[in-house]
Amino acid sequence: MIHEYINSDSIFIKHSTGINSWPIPNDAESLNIRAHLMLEKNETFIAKKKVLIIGCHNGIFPYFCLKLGANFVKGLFLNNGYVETAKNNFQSLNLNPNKYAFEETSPQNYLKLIKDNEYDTIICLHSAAYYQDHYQFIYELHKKTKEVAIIDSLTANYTLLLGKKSIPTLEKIKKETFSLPITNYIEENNQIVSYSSETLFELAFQSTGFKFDKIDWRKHSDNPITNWQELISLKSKQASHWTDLYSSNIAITYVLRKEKTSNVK
Amino acid sequence: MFYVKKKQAMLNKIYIDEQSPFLVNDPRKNRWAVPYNYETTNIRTHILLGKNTKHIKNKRILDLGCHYGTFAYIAMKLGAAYIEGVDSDPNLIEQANQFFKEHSINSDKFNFNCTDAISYIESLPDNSFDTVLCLGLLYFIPNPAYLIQQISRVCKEAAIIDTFTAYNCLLWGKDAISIRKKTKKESFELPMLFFKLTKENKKMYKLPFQFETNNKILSLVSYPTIPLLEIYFKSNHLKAIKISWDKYIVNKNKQIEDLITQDGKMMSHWTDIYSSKARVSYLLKK
Repeated sequence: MIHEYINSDSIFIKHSTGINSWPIPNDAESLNIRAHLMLEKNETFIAKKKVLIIGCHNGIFPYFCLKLGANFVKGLFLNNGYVETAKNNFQSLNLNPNKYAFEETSPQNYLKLIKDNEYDTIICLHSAAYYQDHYQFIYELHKKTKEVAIIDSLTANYTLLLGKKSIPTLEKIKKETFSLPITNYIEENNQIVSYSSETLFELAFQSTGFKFDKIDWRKHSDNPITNWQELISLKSKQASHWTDLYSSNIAITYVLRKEKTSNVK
Repeated sequence: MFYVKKKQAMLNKIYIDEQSPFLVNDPRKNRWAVPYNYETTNIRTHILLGKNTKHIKNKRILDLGCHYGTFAYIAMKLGAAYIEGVDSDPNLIEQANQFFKEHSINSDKFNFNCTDAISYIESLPDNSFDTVLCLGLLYFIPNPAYLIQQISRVCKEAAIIDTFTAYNCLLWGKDAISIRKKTKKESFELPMLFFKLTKENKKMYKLPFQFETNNKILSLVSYPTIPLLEIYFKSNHLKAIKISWDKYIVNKNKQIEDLITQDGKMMSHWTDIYSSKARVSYLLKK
């Protein structure tokens, strides 16, 4: 039984633009499951901790962290519209303003400016794509978190599911290409974004000095799809459950525990 | 050692003598793919530095991955005002200092630092060097986009980059077999970054970014495709001018697949690595 952190009347959902969006909808079911698997099951890294959330969207995950007892939560987002929405949502819920802050900034610049070990826990939600260098991003996470990072990201397989846009890539690769340690770069909304394979993520975690556990989403789908190729057509996308993205390695979530010293010498 | 001997007629400008200690002592002089012998080093110097002297003469230069100072020494001979060399291998830095001392180079005009290139360049102010040299370093690190971003920040005028590309992943090591099996030749036309694991003892250098896994010390290294390199340059506001090796290329139609086998390597000329696009060079202007 999943605890209901929010319902469909919540301001985080009522005013959200991505309730039905593919690949991951921001509806109550999806958000409650994500809160359960990513945060509640890692409550010891949230309760009484100083938490940074990269990609805070309209404040929903910072809100979950406060509900789970975080001492302080800081949310970052590149787009000012979402930061303003997050602030308004928190104000309308009368949450203690000493316990949270939001900032419109590039996570790359923010991580550079803060001290090492500044946050107990850093949570990165679908933001790695905007970092051109994924190894450097994971290296920075390792430096700036004191204990744990939780990373939720789309993988290189996602770049194969974008309809017509993916055709040139599909023609030039084999189905196994993205099982190699690679990062694929594509253009999205007039900017270059980057998506890495699961193999690369895991090598980068090891190399930077993180122990990692992959979160298993399969039990939340009746019939989990395990192959990204099954999600190429529009029809199959429409018929799929959002957790199929995780079971087919189109998206991945890891809990990264910092080892005492960096492996990087 | 592997190369078919060619006449040295192509060599029309000498930057470094055959008996120079930089060449005589270089453990890379017989290696495949880019040997540091008399012919190759003089031609590479001509193409990379000699034809770009306006970015060398009277300039403050940062040489990233300087090895034991061969290119730094030649840049000094070409009139560089000051050279800062960086390499993570302490033996190479000690040797660089020794060679520069033996050549009586004014110690105010150079400095060699034993540190990793990324931490060093991060510590530098914006525009602190006129020219940055990055010759044979980019593929020894797992974060090349970040290094190019830092080079763009630190160089005032230009950078010269000479690097292996993703095609090189098809030629070397145990994982080359898997990469060949899992890719098409066209995959390398996409903007992608390929990663490989390598053992330090297979290289002639101390590699940065080492980590221990399954009781082995490994390094994660990366190889961008040519389209990706050009994206990196563009997104860092660097105007990229591809440096041409055509004048010196012996086998103009050499393809990457011709270099995969040991025989293919043995029958190759050193410039094949450029004609097959496994290695590229750029002059980057800010």
